Amino acid sequence: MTDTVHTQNQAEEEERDNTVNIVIDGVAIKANEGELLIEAAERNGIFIPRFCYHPHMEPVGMCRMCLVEVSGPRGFALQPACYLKVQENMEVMASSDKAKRAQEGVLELLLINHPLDCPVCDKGGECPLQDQTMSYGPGESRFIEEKRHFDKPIELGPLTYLDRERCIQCARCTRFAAEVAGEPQIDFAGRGDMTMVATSPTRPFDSYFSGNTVQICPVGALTAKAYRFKSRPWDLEQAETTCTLCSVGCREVAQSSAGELVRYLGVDNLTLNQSWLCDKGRYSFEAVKNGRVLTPLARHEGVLEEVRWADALADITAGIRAGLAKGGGDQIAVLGGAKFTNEDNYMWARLAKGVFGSELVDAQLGDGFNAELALALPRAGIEETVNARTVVLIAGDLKEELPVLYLRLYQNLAKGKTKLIEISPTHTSLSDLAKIKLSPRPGELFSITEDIFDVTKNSVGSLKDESVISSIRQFLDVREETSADDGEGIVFVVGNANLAEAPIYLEESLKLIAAKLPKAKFLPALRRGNIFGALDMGLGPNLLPGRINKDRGDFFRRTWGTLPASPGIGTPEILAKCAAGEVSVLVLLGADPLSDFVDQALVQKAFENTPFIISLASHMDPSATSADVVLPVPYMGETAGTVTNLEGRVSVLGQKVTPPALARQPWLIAADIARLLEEDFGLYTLEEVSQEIADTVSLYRGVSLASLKRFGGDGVFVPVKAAKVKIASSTKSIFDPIAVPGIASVEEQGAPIKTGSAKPIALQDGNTKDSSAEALAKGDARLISLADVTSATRHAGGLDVIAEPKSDKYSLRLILQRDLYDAGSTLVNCPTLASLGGVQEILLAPSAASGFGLQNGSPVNVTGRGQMIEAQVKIDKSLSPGLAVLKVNKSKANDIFSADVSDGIASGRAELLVDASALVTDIRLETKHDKKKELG
Amino acid sequence: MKQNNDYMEKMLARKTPSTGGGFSAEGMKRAEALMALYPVKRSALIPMCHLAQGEHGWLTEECIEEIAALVGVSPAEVSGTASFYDMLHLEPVGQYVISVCTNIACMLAGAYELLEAVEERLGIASGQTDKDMRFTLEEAECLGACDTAPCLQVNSRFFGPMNSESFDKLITDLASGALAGVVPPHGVLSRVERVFSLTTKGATDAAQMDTTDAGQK
Repeated sequence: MTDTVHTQNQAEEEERDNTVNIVIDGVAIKANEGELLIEAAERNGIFIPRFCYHPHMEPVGMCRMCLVEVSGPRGFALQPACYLKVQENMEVMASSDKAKRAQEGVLELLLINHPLDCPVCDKGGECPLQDQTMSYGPGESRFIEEKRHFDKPIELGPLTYLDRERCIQCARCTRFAAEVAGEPQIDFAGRGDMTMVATSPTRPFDSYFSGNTVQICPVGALTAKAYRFKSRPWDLEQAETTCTLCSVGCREVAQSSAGELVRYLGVDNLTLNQSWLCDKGRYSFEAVKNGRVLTPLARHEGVLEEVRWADALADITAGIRAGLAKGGGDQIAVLGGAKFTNEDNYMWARLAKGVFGSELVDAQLGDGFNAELALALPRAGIEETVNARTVVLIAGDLKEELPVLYLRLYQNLAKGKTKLIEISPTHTSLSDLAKIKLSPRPGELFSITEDIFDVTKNSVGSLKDESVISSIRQFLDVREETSADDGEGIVFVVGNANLAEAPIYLEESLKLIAAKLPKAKFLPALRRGNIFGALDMGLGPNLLPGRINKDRGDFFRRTWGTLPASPGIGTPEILAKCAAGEVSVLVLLGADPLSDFVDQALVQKAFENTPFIISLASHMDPSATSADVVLPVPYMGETAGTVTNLEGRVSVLGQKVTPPALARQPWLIAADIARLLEEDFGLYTLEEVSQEIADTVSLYRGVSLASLKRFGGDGVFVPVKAAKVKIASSTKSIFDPIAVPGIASVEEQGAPIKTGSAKPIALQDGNTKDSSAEALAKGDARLISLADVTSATRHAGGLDVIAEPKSDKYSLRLILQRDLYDAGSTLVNCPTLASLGGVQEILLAPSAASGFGLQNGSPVNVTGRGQMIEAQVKIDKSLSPGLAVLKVNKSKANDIFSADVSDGIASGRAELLVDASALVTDIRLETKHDKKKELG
Repeated sequence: MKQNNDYMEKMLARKTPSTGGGFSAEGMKRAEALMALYPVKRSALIPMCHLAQGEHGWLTEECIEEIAALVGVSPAEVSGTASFYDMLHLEPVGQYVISVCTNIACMLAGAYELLEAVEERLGIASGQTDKDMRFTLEEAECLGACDTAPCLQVNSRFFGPMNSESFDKLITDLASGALAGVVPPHGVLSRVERVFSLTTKGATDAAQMDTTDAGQK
């Protein structure tokens, strides 16, 4: 649990311990020691105007708007409230004549260089400068000279425009880039009235987090390309929701104008995304309009044609009946669910496992690791992770996979609050901050983990420097005898860092670590949107709703009537079965394996050999294009329900716009199919499904749509802990109304903001005597534990390091990773993001590149499994020779998003080279000039 | 400090500012040595900019990237900082950068008339560079040579009092190479070098540097 949950006593104790007494405008106030004056005033309902101050950044005292009179040894003097820490007996006059005159003066000066073009400015109507000029300004200006002029707007980066004359030099954007994102791509240039925010001449502002600078700009200087001139703030309607593009699940508001989604803004909350979003999430609203599946489609004589829902469902029912008749549940495979809500996933799990009796169910697409293990590991929250004593990253680059988690972690690492040990095959965006960095080559991870954690093992076979191993041991306090407290304060962020390597190395390593450090916690970095919701709802091999193992499924056997008999298998094995023609019906729950599965040869064969493929898709992605029946479902912003993020935080999706007329919620489709199969679930509304989850899934006991809407705030963690622990009504802090611009701030501004004193409310309505956690401890629906995890039989005993490829000097071992911007359906359907997809690059060590006579940008062919792709060389100093890094779902050069992406076979796609059943993948390089020689 | 002199001579022998490129191998060596003098890496930012300008006459994009890497800041921070200073040029300049002072002492002595004459003579306005990259003209604040008002500066050398006739002669001399030993190539500042020798070898070397500094001859 994080600090969102307090007992009342704790909160009171904290208050007693470190408060100071101050007086603001004659009102006695208790402030926290070390707190900034502006924050103390705000918590007590006194708003001091400001521009540069931001609650999640270091104070800078740049704009002087917050000048107030503060008592000192020489009487009262003007001081910036955003830069001054409270002290015992401090006396402050925030609205004295002198303070007001100072604030008026600052505003008059700020407005001298401001164009006052509010009527044509995006910010007009939600502009802190406009608002505060009204409230704190002098009312008129004495400036009659000509104002400064700049060319406008200039393109600061691919997603951001800058109108320099509007800038008031508050340094919020530059501080964000440097402090929060760790990418100081923008800085002030020039001086005096010509001071402007600028990039270096060669590098555009292409940070993954550039949109946040637009959100926190207190004037209209920075505007988003995707939103510029799209709407006026007073026309916006908004709904609070959760981003489902990755499993961090940032809280945001979806804003629409005239029924069209036009903007996402991050919501300020203390423990999750702190108002930040990544650009992919922020600008993904554009995908709502483009490339959608609008009507049910069915294949007739090889062509997808529009059909009526009834016909589509009849086709599906007939197909499923035929499959069931042929060989029972094992004939029907269900893949995906990470794009759907918990309600959708629960219904599909019930349909797949309880009606079809199928165990060929997996929400992951072979890019994570064993779902049972991921659920069984003791889970850490994000807040716990970023504040841990030591974080051990055994995963890929978090900035590419879970951007906002990177953002949270970066700040604490840079401040030295947390220490990082990184065990990742490549140089990641956090590597420079790591105390110890270890780069296991593909296939080495388990041996290295054994070296570190298996103290009894003779470390003669140690692969890495003995001193590094022993310093990691020291850091993590790994000793020969294990005590129950080992691992306290250590959080492992774990994920599959190499998609071309079997996850077994990671899985076995994690089991070893969990056994050796019983108190260590884990944050599984499974990437896809609501993947944890899907797994929690049972859409994973051997899993049932509520993180329980199939062996403990008596309750669901009783209520659902049946459970599958066969052991569960993951997506790679399911697709192998499909490819072998052993599956009659393949259902894709928003999944697009033709784009997202790493072994392209296998998935293509699976598609060829499966007679009936059903795709529930929001967009016409390659897999939907190849399916036999396509059913339109809503996309982000159009759907209501709940989702669960990687911490186990359940939050509510807010529906802002109406889905296409013929789209149906996936849960409703499941209910329809069940009804047509004469297994009516008796659930007819979203609320009923949600209530069924809250009633029958013990992990989610009491956590229904209705209770979350009433008490959930920014989400609650499951299982809800003992009943006496109350959950604050909202963890949202509007510390700073202009930290969250938009209509929310307009509404809430002026109202006293009391985040700290929010009355805790019990989440459950008191109808359950046992808390969920207690009930789980005794009931038969016990949470999955490490002992329950089905042990992998594949490659048993084969975890020794595999010899390097030796066939010739052109052979390399492949590390396959993911970029945030790839040719996936989000980017393809978002015009502003589309150009960012980039081409396939192959990262090589300097010595390897020079050995082949290659330079940055040289074109090469890469071969493997009889396939060849094109890539562009990029030299990576941190990579060791013999290794090559490719990215999934990329196009070849000069070919971005051309037609051949949509048929799934773009020749830049590294997935063509990978064999999902192999432990590691080796590739061969062919430089263009000696291609003939090599081939001949 | 043999190496110092070699390097200085090489810089002083440079005829025209380059159009681009990063530090030379030798320049990089000096940059690294310069870095070692600063306990806080960031502090070396301005001296490094001078060093780069000494090599190319202006701050090339490649140099900005290299300085950023050496000093441990982002390229945007280097160019942002450099843009604060009029004497650091972020765009290519001509062989001779002519800065005409228009501050009060010079103004009273006819600086604007001089500036007008210079503009006419060179065929460019203040802030521009002529087509064959010979002259860059800029208006400067007080150059500190008020005793010779109206004064101007060519690269780092002062001339004054000037009028349109003496300016014509100056241009002819510059073009003919008569001032080759007096006017160093743009960007070569001996100050960076002097600091360098002071702390590495002691004051004696610094004194030596002063006497051998070609610009002072």
